[in-house]
Amino acid sequence: MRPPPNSSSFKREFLKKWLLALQLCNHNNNINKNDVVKRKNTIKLSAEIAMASVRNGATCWSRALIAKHSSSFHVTTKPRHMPPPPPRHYKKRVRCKKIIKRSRRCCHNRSAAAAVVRRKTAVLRKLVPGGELMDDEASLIRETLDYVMSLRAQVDVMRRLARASDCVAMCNIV
Amino acid sequence: MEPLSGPGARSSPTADETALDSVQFGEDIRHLISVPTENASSFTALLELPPNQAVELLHSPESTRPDSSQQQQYQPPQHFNAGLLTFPTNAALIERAAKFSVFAAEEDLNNNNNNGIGSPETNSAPSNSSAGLHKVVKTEPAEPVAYLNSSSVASDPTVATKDENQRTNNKRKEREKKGKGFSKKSKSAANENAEQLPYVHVRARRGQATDSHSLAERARREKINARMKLLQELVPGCNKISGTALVLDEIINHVQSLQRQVEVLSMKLAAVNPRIDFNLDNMLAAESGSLMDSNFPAVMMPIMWPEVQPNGSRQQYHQQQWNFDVVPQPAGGGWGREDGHNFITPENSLLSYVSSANSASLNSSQLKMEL
Repeated sequence: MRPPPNSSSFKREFLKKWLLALQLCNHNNNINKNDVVKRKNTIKLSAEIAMASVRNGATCWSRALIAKHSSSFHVTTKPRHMPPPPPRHYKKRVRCKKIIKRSRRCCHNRSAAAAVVRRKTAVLRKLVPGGELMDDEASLIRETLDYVMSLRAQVDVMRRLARASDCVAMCNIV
Repeated sequence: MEPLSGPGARSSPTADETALDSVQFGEDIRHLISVPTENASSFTALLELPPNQAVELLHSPESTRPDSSQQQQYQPPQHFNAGLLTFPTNAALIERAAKFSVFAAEEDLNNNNNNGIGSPETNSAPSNSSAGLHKVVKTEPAEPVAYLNSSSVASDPTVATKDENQRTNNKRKEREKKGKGFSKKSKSAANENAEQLPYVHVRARRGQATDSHSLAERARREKINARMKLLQELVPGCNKISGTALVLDEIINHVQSLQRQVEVLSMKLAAVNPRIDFNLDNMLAAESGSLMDSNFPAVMMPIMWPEVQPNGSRQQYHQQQWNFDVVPQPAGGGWGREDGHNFITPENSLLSYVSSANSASLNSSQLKMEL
């Protein structure tokens, strides 16, 4: 794994790739200028892809993110065969209510906390891209660390850009 | 890192610690030599170190060093052990890795001094002459590192009072040569080292199960806990909470809030007045013309999903489009989505506004630095 995102260089790289991704998005599918939702989606998509590509495939989440979005980038050229969907770990199992009750009664104290932790880990797994593919909790947490750092950098860059564009808009009006 | 602390600060390692760590030493050397890849991120490397041990091992070599120039004649074996002791948990060297070259340079200077002026001095004057002592003291902090590699030198710490100075000089030269090489690869190696550590350190306490499954499980749990602790420090307002479930809750909230912020900000950027244009592209083209054909389209095709890959025309397409955007005319550049709108000249572009708003100079590099 590459070292974690150093703040300034990471942000610079991110900005570069973001702009490139925006161009790419724009040329792949021409978007109506008045459709705000579509534009927002494009911006978000490009930002996510840029963030993932800055990590350069070093982490699981970035690869998963790119793979998730790669279909939307290939509007004109569709892939010949779709990849098989990742195995789902979260099927709702139908169980007999009696059995559930009995199991709760017998080992309630011991496993209640563990169950809570498991549930929350599952939620976290859904939040982090590619988290479903990691069956190891340690790697999940490591990926989460990296993802949080990258997300922070991304939010910071976007915020600066938004503030800057606000400034420009104000100055244009005045 | 106080090389001038008094002799009272010396902390001699206990015997069993020494034995244990010398057992681990060989293993770590093997890790060092075999896999010098950049495999671990530094913050994950940091976490595997128990803090008190790290502190102790950071400080013990420095505290042993200064007076060892005086005590070198009397107890070299312990000196050697002290140098050795620092190694197995030398992930602490990650922070100091940057300083090694400095130390080496300093040592070089000192060595030159010693060779030029001081060769008669070192022969004639004993080691407790003040000038010589100072030099020795100054150069000390690099020594434990050097010892690690030059095991052949370190393996014969015989007691000899007469030519001790001469020998230390020679030794220092060797160490210096090896120390430089070490400083280059020390970062990655130490990272690798730290990745391996938890498996080495797992020991069963009294009353704990000792079969391999339990040990592995315990190691796993410890790793998870350490990472969790680090994550806890990263997420604001999570420091005081104890309990895995609550911490996980906080982390989930933090990630969700960050993702929501991204959403909101992209919405905001989308809703921004489309007349605004960015000439950041020109800046990009100026500073990195090779970016377009370097890695972006390649990155778009991950290794894990090979059906995305066979797309050589994409890159060309991208390149053409880049040329179309940037080179011939500035009017279509900028945000990509917002082309077709009027281009604002660089004088009143985003960069100048940003920098004027921040009361900095009108310099694109400054914006980049700020970012």
